[in-house]
Amino acid sequence: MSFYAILRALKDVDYRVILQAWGILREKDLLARDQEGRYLPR
Amino acid sequence: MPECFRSVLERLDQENELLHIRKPVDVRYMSPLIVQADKPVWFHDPISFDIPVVSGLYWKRDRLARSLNWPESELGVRFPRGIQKMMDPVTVEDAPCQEVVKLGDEVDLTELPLPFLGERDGGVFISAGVLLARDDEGVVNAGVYRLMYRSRNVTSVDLVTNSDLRKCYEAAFKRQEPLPIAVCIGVHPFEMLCAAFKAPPGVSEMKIAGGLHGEPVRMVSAKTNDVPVLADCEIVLEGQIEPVGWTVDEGPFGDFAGMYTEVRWNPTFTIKAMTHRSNPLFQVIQMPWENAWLGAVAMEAQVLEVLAAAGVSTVAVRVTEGSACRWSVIASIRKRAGGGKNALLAILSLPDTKHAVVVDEDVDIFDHEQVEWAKTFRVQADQDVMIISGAQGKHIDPSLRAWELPRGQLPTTSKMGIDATTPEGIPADHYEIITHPFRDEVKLESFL
Repeated sequence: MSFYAILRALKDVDYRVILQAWGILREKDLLARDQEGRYLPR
Repeated sequence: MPECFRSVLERLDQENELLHIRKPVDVRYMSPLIVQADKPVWFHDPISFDIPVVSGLYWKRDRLARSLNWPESELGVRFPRGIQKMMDPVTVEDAPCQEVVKLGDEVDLTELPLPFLGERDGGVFISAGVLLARDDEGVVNAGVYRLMYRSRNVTSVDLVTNSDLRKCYEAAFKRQEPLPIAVCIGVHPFEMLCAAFKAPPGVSEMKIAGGLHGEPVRMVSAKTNDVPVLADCEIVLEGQIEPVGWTVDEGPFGDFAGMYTEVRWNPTFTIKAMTHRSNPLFQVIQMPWENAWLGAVAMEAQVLEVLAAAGVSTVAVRVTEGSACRWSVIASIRKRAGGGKNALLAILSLPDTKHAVVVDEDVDIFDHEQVEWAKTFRVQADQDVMIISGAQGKHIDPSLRAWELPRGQLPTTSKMGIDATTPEGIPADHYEIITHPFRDEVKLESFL
């Protein structure tokens, strides 16, 4: 999933909350990237 | 005291050149609003953030000129004056950028209204940060580098291109040491312009900024490392680039060339302190044109500089918009024998220039038709087209297939120069342009 797709899917979620959650996912290294740059759960 | 980001906004506001959006705006929707606006935008109320956002100052050439308070026609000419008059910054004890200090666990990048700038971007980016670092000689280097948000106190930093910061980092990485840096956000346009410029070795870009201001740039010591920061900027992030090498995913990013760069592998920047004014503003550089136009001034100034060093008498230079204000240059010269080729060699020696066209002084380089005419009728391809293979390139150019390179490797490119000056030995009257008879005496209005 692209970051844009995530923002669109979570349109009703507060943007700052998304950034905070994203930070936790990245901090815990829970996301991989495919060749197109899309994010995948590890 | 020199002007700062805030005083520039005040001036633009007085000139009615600022669009104020006071309605609450979801930060994810700011980018399309910025590109639709016909003026720079001040978002007073980003939802869930206490810090307003300002963007679009450099979106067009005329806006850039207005921000700099220079005539639009003098962008490439005024910038070199800063180089001629450069002066050392001064260090101050108290600075507006340190009215609020947050250290360690107090640092939280989600306090900043980080925008989402392009549909395919890999995340949100800090795009208006002037990054300061000391090289091994202690000289403070400044540059503009994108930072992709990863977590509360970590971003990636794009060090793929062959830059001064990359050289600093390579030296530290070789020693397996972190590189202390500071990122200043919300700086005066002169400082942003100089940070976008590749200063000669051993010269700090902030000295040139002082030359442009006409007085020294004010710096203050960072709170957590020995990198000086711009005292009058809005927000500072202090920390270090970790010695992990080009290992962490970063991007994609819609960059200044108007296209996306692919996922890259880069080091990370750990923020140890965030300082700011008591009521800071967060500046966003909206891609691609804000970054492109900032680069244009420096490019034109560099072209003028190398042509002067090559002994070429230059009439005018311009970078082309279609080349994102960077890759293609057109120059008109007062030619002496061989001058066209010498001018091309000088222009193509610049790291970013990929294509160059040189014309005589009778050609208006801002008129596409005239340039095309000169290329058509003053060029023989086997004599006047210069191709240089294996020169320094930039990853952002898709034709280089940089994604096929091993991580951390730098690409090369082929450069092309077209000497569209009058070939030696062809008399000028062979290029005499048609003028219509009695043009000054006979007027259409008389016959209507």
